[in-house]
Amino acid sequence: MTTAASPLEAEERLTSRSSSKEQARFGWSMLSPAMTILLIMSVAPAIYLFYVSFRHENLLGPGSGFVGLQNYIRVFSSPENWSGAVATFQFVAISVVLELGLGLGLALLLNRKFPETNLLAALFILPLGVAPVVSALVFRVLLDPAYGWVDYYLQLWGIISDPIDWLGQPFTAWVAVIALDVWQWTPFVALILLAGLSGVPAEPKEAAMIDGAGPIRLFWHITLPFLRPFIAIAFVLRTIEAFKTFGSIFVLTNGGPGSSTEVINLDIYRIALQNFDVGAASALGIVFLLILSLITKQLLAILGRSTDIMEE
Amino acid sequence: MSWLGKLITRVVLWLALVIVMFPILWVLLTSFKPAELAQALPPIWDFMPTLQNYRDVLSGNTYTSQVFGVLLNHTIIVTLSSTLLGLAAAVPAAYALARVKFAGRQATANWILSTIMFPPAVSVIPVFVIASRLGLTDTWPVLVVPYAAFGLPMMIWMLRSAIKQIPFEIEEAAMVDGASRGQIIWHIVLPLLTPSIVSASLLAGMLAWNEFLFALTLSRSAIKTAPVGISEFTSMYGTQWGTLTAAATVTVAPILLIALLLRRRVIEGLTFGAVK
Amino acid sequence: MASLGIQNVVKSYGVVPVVRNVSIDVADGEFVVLVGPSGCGKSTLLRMIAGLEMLNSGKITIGSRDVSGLPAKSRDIAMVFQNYALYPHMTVAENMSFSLRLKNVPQEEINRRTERASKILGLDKLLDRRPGQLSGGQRQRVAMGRAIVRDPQVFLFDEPLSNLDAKLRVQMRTEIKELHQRLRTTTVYVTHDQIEAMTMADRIVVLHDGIVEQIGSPLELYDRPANQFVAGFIGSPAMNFIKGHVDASGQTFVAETGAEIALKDTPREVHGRTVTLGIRPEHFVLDAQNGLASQVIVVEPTGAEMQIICQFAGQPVTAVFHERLNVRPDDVIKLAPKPEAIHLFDAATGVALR
Ligand SMILES: Nc1ncnc2c1ncn2[C@@H]1O[C@H](COP(=O)(O)OP(=O)(O)OP(=O)(O)O)[C@@H](O)[C@H]1O
Ligand SMILES: [Mg+2]
Repeated sequence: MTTAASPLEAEERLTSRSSSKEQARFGWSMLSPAMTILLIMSVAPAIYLFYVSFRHENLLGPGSGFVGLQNYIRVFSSPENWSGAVATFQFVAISVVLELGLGLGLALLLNRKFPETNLLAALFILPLGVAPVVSALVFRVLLDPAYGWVDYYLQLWGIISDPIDWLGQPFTAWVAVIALDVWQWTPFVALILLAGLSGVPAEPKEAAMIDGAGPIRLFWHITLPFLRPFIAIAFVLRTIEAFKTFGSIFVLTNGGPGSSTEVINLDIYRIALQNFDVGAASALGIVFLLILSLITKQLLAILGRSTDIMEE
Repeated sequence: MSWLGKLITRVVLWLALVIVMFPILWVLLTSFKPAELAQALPPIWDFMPTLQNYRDVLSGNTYTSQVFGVLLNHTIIVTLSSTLLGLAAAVPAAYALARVKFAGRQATANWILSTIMFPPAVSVIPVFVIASRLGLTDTWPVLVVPYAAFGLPMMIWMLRSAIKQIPFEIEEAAMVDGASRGQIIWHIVLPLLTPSIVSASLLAGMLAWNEFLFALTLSRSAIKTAPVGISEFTSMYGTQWGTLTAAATVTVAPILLIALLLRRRVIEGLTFGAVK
Repeated sequence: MASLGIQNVVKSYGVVPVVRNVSIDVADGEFVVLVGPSGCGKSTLLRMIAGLEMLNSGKITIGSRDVSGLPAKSRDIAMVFQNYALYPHMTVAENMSFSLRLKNVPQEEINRRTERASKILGLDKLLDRRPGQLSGGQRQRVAMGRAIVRDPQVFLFDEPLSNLDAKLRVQMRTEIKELHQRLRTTTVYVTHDQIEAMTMADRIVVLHDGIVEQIGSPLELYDRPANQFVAGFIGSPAMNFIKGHVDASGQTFVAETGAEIALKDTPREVHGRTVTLGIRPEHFVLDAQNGLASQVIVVEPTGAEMQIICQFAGQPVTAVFHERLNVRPDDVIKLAPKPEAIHLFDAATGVALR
């Protein structure tokens, strides 16, 4: 081949001297569609919220304008927001702890090989697919004091004497809200941990057994360390999702009775889209976002420490 | 383990199954009950199964404002388009994060992951306000773009780790074989990514299919989705259990069937690919 | 097919130089082997020829075409990777024909070429399998098939045999050599196994720390190593080195222990100089009269030959004999190097003195 470089080759020559600049250009251009979508749905809303949080902005009423820190002062002086914050953390903490505990137990049981375990493990995936709205509605109907099956059977079996208005009292409403979340997401945790358990090698276990370790020490020293990354993944993902929970509580209790189960998400939604006070909702949203980003940072650090999914 | 231990284990497992399955089976059972028996107490267990509830739901013979079948169609459209949009954005992004060297790569990847913490209840406010101002409420993009965004971090992270597991030498072999970067992605990377793409799409699809808040806030009738429609079965004139459960069944069944069939892939998706 | 020119090629990663000013001319149809210890830059050089790494400076030409700035896909070279890098989702036939399909070669032509390559490599029966269903040796062959069907200007091999077991390695070595004799494609072959280099190469390039130490035919390198590094690297077991000086007459080498070894035909310039003496294990003889008394440390019979490690002129050396000797550890034998096979190297620079 003795042909001189064709124009095409000359062009390639330019592009292929892939300097780091060109690599960067290529990388960012590949990233740009995803970045655009994510910027539209995270940074842009955050900036808008920040801007509006210093304004009086009422979707219906007149007179929007700059109000300084007034929205923030209102946010921090409203007892409803404080109780909403308490409700949120209460909801996240209790449901995540229950889901992890029950999920671990379920995973350990499923890890024993009985003829039916594969079938059971397969069926346990079903709750994750049910739309939260649907499961919340079903819980609501089942907990109905007049027609619900739960009260009926509890009475029939003599566990309670009078029907309970589950969603009518703060404590039982909380029980219902947590039960719904636990029902929907414990199997998720269990399936992650089951996948982790199936990777626990037999050899160290056998070696430890020969060394005379009992089942508890075996679990503590052999099984648990292997499960650690899986527990971290389940914990982090569940925590983040629990902070975002909206639909299921909205449908099940709508924050009631009173505002006893009104987590921040419902609070914000109500202020913005039912009271149309966008300024105050934005201020609350910004505060919530700040707290969440601090928490997320910690959670992702946990993920980075316990798993290799964050590695370069 | 002693026989007693085994027995207890199995009893507990079956009990857990009953608890897990009960709400789902209750929906299924009630959806086939004649309307007048649905709310009866004590619960009626032997009845002539009827498809009347399904007929009512799908033909619009309910108290809700719209025929449920139409809402299902909307759900399908929104789910497919947001998943495809997400995929189209996620594959090149994941490739860049896995294979292209540039400053800020890891920071970008971490930032993308951290966007999963943005609560939809917060982001819905600006989206709602701006969509109203631009007259975009009740149009496809106001659901499709946010749903794509909800699924994106997971898709990108999953595909990125899957791409990293493809030995780079295979791509180099393709370069030497005369493939351009685009051809390498199309002929080599994409086929090898198929399982992960299925996982990621399944999860993104499930998120979109089941999403409630944005659909509730941003749709009126033209794009109203099934979850919003279902929530209306209770709010209008009390609850009609028969049609409610039938609507719930048609909404949930496709997802559950897919989840059962492609269990591994679904779990892989739910855990961002951390559990294979 | 074409000649391949590598001129003053320099490559560094950051500030670490990996290939420093390397120039090699490979003639059309020649089989050149790059050898050198691990990390000396062999793969880097090969990947620069392939277009997988860019040069910092210098020039690479294929035929009369300067390809230095071209991407891999436009260079018309084929490469066999150490781990084969087969496309896992394609069948053997699809793996081999991928490059042709990219170029939109007509299907008939593709079939013809794939068939020919698979016949040459004995892959005809495996065409519908996936790489996952093949043995290591078969995968290796598919990787070569992928290169052959293209009929490229240059073949590049990066340690293609290192993942095979010893027996298969020897067999594939012969096959690759036969293949080359048949196709006569210009080939650059990287290995760190000097036996592979000796048996396959038309010419060997010895690379060390990114520098070419010597280029020459296998026997040239064996007989006339340019320096102590090449002398030590080529040949197995490796050449023995003994420190000392040449006496003023040039007749005798005096080791640091005072032991004396007779020399022959030494050039004037070495007389009286501090040098390192090199002697290959196979160039020792037993000499009851002039040999140095050496205590045997280890005896390793391999059947065809005997390797004896013994204390010679104050240090352990390896000697190889083709006859069976009746020696045991702690025996004392009288060992002498053949004077005509002795190499002398400058003690400071390692350059061969002859
Ligand atoms: N991408 C890189 N970044 C930084 N240094 C590198 C890179 N690739 C290779 N090196 C360094 O360059 C040197 C030469 O590497 P190269 O792979 O060419 O060695 P080699 O001769 O092929 O060795 P081996 O026989 O072990 O394959 C090594 O010291 C290696 O650490
Ligand atoms: Mg190498």
